Amino acid sequence: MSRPHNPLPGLSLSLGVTWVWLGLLVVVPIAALIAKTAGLSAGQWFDILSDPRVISSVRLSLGASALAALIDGVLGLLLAWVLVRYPFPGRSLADAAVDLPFALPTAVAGIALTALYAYDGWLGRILQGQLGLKVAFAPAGIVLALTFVGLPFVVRTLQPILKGLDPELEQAAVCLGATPAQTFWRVTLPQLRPALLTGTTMAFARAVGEYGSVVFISGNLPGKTEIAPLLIVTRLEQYDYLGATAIACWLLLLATTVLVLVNWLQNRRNSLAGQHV
Amino acid sequence: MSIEVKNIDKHFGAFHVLRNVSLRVEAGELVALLGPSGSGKTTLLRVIAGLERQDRGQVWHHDDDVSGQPVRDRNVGFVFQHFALFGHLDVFENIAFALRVRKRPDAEVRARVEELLHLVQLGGYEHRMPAQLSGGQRQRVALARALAARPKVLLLDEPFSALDAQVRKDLRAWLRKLHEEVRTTCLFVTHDQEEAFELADRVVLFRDGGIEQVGTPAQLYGEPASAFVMQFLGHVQMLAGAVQGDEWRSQDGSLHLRVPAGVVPGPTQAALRHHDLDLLPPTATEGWPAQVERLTTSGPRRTVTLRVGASALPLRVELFGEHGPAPQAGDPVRVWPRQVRFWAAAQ
Repeated sequence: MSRPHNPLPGLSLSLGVTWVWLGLLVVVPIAALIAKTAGLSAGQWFDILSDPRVISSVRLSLGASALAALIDGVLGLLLAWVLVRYPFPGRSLADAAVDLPFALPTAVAGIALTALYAYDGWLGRILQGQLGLKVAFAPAGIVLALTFVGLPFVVRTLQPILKGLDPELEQAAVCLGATPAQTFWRVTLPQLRPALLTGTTMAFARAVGEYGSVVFISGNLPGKTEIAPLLIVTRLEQYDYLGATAIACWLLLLATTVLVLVNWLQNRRNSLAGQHV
Repeated sequence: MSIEVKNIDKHFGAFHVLRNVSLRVEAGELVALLGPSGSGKTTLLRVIAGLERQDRGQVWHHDDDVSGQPVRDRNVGFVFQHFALFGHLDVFENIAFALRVRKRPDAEVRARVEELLHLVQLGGYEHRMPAQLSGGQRQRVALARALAARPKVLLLDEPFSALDAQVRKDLRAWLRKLHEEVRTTCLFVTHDQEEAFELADRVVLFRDGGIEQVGTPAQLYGEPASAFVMQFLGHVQMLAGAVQGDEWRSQDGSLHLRVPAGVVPGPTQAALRHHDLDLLPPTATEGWPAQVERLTTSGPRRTVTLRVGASALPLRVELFGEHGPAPQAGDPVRVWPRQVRFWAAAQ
């Protein structure tokens, strides 16, 4: 098989580095994780995973992550839109602030959010005291924290696509009589859809594994506000290594299924729609 | 529907793109906006569509002042240079777009799209995606899409410039035919004078944000309003010189021409069209002595490059059809202009 000629040499070297990196950092640890659970019988698997505490924590993790990813999708689109389309004073500052959730230790974010939304915090006082809406130490707080850590993924994947959109397509739509809303839904959004989906699934994947920012704000009530990553840590602290790895494998399997499913839907849509111009 | 713009002014920052432009296009006319790039022709087209807002002046569609109306309400068909097809929609839905946003019933949409597919000769392509079409097919889809809502006027921005030479010629002829069938008022922008002359009923020639001349192709060619018009239409050579009394002399003093009455004395350019020059034998008594430098043949046209006069000015002569034996490089000849136009040199 011949490869297309590439003016920059160094394929073998870079491919080698890539494989070593992938192997040491991704494949080996995950293989070890799966190998660790090899000794478990079907009955033990069932016992571990049917524990109500495990079921509710996994459900909470996946549900809150999905919700947070959806919120990120909408908010991220708005944010990217404003940052790309409208020049306003302080835009570069706002643009830089988007990356803060990446840069900040997530525990710091968790503590800050908790302080803000706890019943005696600035916002918590209003939300809980006057509106009766409990955010900190409730599932809402978990969603809030996960939304915070996932937002940059959506904004940063959408921005280059938005910048590269051909303005003539929107002008063509308007000439053809489309209202601004019709132009957005029928012309602009379809072009953003692949990037929006990628950003949202990345935010979802990040949220499923998120630990640091959530433990402070969630309150960690078993069966109520305990997320799966926290339960895994709890099991480890109890020296229940098998239980911890079993839950980890289960979480990995479920999250991967979701990602593969989303990818498959996306590819099917693309092949139905033919190639993009 | 007639289109009229009155006293349009437009700036992009400090750049004055349109300078007090007024123009009237009659219903059913096919008019070309011609000019070098940056002369304002595309901007005027976009102002008529409403895609750009003029700083000053009015746009009239028929008897309506649409100067402040949004694009959506003007019902113009606009065809973009790079097609601007919706890549995520197939040919059918691209053409149907204007009807879909107007929420027309399905049966009506289908009937209209089929009619248009037939008109642009793309029957059977309705489920192709734009990426699967050639450039010429894409531009035809763009045309059909622009025509779907029966616009009162069709505006085309350099519609053929992104296409191959042959496709461009075919589409040109096809657009002319289409216009005869549909009879929609049509304005198109081009920087290709051949395209403008071949297609348009009237040509509007732009220069630096203003209109230099408006007229039929024959008028522009036969009665150019300025040296710029002649030069832009091409196949012409300007010789610098001066008029004194009833004679024009080239700068080096070696070439002389009689000038008709009414030419003002002073620095004057003599405009010689390549095909208005006669080649004479070296023994002839009239004409300027010259030497053949090079001869090229392109189809029925032979181009002879000469050196003429004391300062060996280069001069091109175009000969068509049979003209006896071809002169060879180095041959001495004589050359004489059958027709000359004189333009006072720009100060």
